[in-house]
Amino acid sequence: MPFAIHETVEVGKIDFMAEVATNDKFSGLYISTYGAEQQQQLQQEHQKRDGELLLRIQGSRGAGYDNLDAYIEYADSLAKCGRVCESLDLYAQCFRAGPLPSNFLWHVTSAFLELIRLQVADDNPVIRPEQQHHQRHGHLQSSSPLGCGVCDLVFRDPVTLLCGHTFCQGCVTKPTVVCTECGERTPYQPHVNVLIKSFVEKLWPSQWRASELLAEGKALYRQDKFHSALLKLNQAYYTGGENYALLNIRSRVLLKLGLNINAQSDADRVVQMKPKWSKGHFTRGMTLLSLGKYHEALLEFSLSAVLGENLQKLKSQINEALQRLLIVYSKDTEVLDLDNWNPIAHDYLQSCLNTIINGTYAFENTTDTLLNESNVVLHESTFFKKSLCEINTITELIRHILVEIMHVKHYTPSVQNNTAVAAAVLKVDKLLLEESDFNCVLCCGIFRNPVTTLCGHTYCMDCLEHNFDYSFHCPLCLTSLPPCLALSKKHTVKFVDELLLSMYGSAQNCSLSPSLNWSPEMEYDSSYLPVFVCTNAFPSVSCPLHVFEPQYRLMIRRCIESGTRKFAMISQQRFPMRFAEYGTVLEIKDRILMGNGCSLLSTVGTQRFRVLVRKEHDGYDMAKVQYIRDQHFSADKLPDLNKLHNEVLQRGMTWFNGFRPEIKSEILRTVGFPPAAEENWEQLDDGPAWTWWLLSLLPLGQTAHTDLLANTSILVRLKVINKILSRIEQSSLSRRITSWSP
Amino acid sequence: MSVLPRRILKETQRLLQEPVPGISAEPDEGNARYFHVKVTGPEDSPFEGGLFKLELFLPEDYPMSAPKVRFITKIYHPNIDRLGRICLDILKDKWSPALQIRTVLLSIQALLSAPNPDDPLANDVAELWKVNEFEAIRNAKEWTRMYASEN
Repeated sequence: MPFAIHETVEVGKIDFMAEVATNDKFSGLYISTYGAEQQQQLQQEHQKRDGELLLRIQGSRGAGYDNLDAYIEYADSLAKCGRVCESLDLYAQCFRAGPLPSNFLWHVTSAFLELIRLQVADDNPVIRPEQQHHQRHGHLQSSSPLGCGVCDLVFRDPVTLLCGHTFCQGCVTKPTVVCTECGERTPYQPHVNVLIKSFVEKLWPSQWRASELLAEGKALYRQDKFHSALLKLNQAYYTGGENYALLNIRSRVLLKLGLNINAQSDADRVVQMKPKWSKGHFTRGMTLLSLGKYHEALLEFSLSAVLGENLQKLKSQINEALQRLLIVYSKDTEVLDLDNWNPIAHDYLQSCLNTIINGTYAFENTTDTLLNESNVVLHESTFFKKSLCEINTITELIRHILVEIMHVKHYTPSVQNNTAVAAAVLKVDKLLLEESDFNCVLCCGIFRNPVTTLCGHTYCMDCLEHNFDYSFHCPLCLTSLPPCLALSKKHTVKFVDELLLSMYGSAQNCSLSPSLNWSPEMEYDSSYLPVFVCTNAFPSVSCPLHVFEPQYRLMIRRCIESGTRKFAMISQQRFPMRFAEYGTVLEIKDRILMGNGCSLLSTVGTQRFRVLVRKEHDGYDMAKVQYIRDQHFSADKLPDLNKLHNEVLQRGMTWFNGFRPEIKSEILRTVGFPPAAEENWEQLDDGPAWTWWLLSLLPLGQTAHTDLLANTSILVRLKVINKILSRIEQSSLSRRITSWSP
Repeated sequence: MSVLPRRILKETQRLLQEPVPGISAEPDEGNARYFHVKVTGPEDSPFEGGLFKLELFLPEDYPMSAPKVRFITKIYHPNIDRLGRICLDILKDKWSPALQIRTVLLSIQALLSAPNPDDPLANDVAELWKVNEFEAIRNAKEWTRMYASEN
């Protein structure tokens, strides 16, 4: 029976549209934005209003579809309560009066998307942001380690992040880059890694060329130059073979050119190759929509939504698919008998889904049977086998869609055994590479722990660190690198590591090659000590140091990294050698690294030594030394020595205690408190610690200090101290710095 | 005498195997960090026809520090003083460890082709070069003939 929409209805529609506009905040998302209590309240309100509406509809029954606006309002109200199927059923009725514009379905579309979202959320409650990112791009664990972790293809303009992972420039987030592999942040946009780019060009020239063509094709597609885009993409196809990204764009181009069937076959292949890629499903949905396969289109859009596609982008497509479907269904369905209409359809749907969720066995069984069947592309489920057009109610269609969503969610690529589907693994042809490709420009050896700067240049980690002792500029492009990043811990570039591994077998083999500018053996030859030429240090006495010269920054870094934490401190000498013959070993107690690469050291003196052999190494001195110790006294001389010791100690402490408080506190801060006399001081290698403490304070020249370090007699040391103290007491110096007057 | 870093070995090897046209650099027999360098005067420059001797020394922290280079042959050039010291930015603050002996010597050769009197080291030469370029060039040719003649 034919229906005509009356003018009054048109007016009603317009009013209704205004209401939709004002109520738009409800559009389907209220379930997530309101709390459970508010939600219940809202639903109650709706149910109350629904009752009134139903009465109004039933009251005016027989008056044909004059009260279409009431039907629509009721359908929207149901949609807002999340009763999507009933809402759609009701809309199907409204469509019998002739198709409504698709914007009328806005509420039910929102509700549909919400239903899908809830379905996924129930099923998969915890999705961490980085995982979400993986899913957004359909990341597969089995992807080749030499390709981009995001797109799975050969790198196009590779950029290496601080964590050492590399991605295509177009595949990383902006402006702060968050690594999809490890979640680490890189607060800058890194430049193209020139080394990796050259490797890609050398190793996989056809794929690389194809990726260039694909990018050009994409650009043309964005400029609406579809014919030229298609030519480029076909060229890319013949150059580098098929890949999902290429087929996806080609499908969209074909769609724009009206070649819908070709577009669909490309899209089919994309979904087959990358079943968890939202964009692929979106493209397939578009092609299906263009071919009038609305059922399947709706499914594809739903999958795309589940897999993380932008909902706003999807909404209008889903809206259109629903409208088309309603037109189809409105022709086939009988007039809705509102007296006998069973409004429990929603509950029925819920119960169906609960069976699926709780008793996943049914679901697993289907998967198993699918796995066993040959010639079945895994992605396809029972759903595909049953022609969608055979489904005669929209409720059943939605139920099928939800089942399919679950299927795709649970689909794991590990069971992927179809060789046609598996992504082509990037292989390394060793013959295309030579050793010089792996040479660090700084040491001319094969990369050892290669690291890449933000400007895209690669060096050995040690070489770059060494460079940072001198300057924060990149050696190759002279870009000034931020000191904070230059000094932070660096991570090796995984891609280059991987290539080195495939070239030279194991990491050990790499390090065997004599490529190092400085080898650890040479460095940590224990008979040589690194030398800090600066001042005299004394056993047991602390010695604070500010290290700023590039060569000493390197030296101290090596001391700490090697774990020895020891170096020789020797005073400067003009002639005949750069530094004196005697010195003290300093042990690093604490190190504060400052922003500019300099460091503050807390050190304390340990053994004394005599320099035997001198050499230079990477700009600083090294020395082979012989440790020296005090001679022991025979027992008969001890009483005299003991007497002198106690006398001098007392005299020294009196001298120190007489200092003005400000001078005293300054001394305590620099060299620490005077050490108490040890009980067995006469047996110690360096004698009593207090003698060294006092010597570091006494006004003695550098040469005198060196002579005392060289001296191995405690008796001589005590006598010298005693002599100096008595001279001080008589001099004006003591009056200047002490508070007492003689 | 410490072990010679691989980088210096490789650079030396390459300098001997693939010499740069117009430049020769040979390590001293007793000291692998000391090079005897000969640079021919570039064509179309006042130094054409001359053969200039230089000494080049790689300090202990090379390549982090620039090599030390000095002209041994007397040369009349605004950027090179009477002691043979060279005013060249890459030998000072513009040094980068990615530069090599080869690139340094090429830069010195280029400096002979393009004297820069605005950044002088030899003040009297630079002054004349600015005031009377003709005479300065004549002097340079004369010096080349006198001191850098191959015979």
